[in-house]
Amino acid sequence: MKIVAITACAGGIAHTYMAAEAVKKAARLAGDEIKIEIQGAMGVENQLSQNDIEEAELIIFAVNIGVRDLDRFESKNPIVIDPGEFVGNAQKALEKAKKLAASQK
Amino acid sequence: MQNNYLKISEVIEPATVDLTMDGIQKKEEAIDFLADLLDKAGHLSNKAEYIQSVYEREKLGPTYMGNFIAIPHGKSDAVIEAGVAFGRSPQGFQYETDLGGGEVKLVFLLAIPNRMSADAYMAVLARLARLLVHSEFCDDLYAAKGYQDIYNAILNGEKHLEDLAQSKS
Repeated sequence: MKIVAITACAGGIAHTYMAAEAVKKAARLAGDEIKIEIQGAMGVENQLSQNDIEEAELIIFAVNIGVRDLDRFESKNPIVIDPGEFVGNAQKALEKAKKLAASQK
Repeated sequence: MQNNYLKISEVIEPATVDLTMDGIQKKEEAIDFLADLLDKAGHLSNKAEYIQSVYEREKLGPTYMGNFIAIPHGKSDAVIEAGVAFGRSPQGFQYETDLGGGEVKLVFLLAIPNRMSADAYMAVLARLARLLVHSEFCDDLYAAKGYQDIYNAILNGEKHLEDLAQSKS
C-alpha cells in the first residue's frame, strides 16, 4: 500500500521525530511504501509532493497539533492518529489507521 | 538530515556513562548525577548554570518520552564542548514534568554549547529520538554489560538510521 504521513507534535521536536521513525518502521514491517513529511522545529522536512499525495492510498496525520499547508489534502481523507500511539505501538497504530480508512470508504 | 551533524557515537565516552545509577530515586537526582559526570569529564565550565538551562528547557515541554525513556537537554554558555551522558537505572526512578511523566530507566542528558546552531542542536536531538524508537536499540542498552556494549549499540543504531535515510526517496 502506498502511504504518506505527516508527523507534528505539540510535545516538541523529539516527539515529532520519534513518531516519524515509528510510522516508518511500522510501514516497513507491513511491507507498505511510505513517505513521511516531518513538520518540526526545524521547519518542514522531506516535504510531500502533490503527486505523492494524489497517489497515496492512505494518508496519515500523526499529529496532535495543526498541520501546515492543509489545503494540499483538500480532496483527500486523512486519518488522524495521535503520534503517541505510534510511539507506543507503531504496528497497532498503523492497523488502526488502515481500518479507519477502510470504514470511511 | 545531513551527515555532518554531530553523532551520539562520536561524543559518548566511558566517563559519562553509568549503568547502575545507584541511589537515584527521582528526576532531579538523575539530572544532577549525570551533569556531574559531564562536569568531571570536562564538558562544563559551570555545572549549576548548565543545570539551570536544562530546567529552563524542561518548562517548554516534556522530555519524558514514554517507554521508560527521558532525554533532558540544555544549551548553555556553561558548556565547553558538546557532550552526552547516559544513565541506566535497572530499578527505575520517577521522572515527573509539568506535563506528565512516569518511570524512567534509560536517560540521556545532552549538553550543547550555546555557539552550536539551533539546527545542529535539533538534529542531534532528532537523531537520538529516532534511535530510541527502535526496541532493538533499547534492548541493547538494557542488556549492555559495560561501556563498549553501549558504544556498539549506539554505533550500530546510527548506522541503521543512515541506511533508512538513504533508501527513503
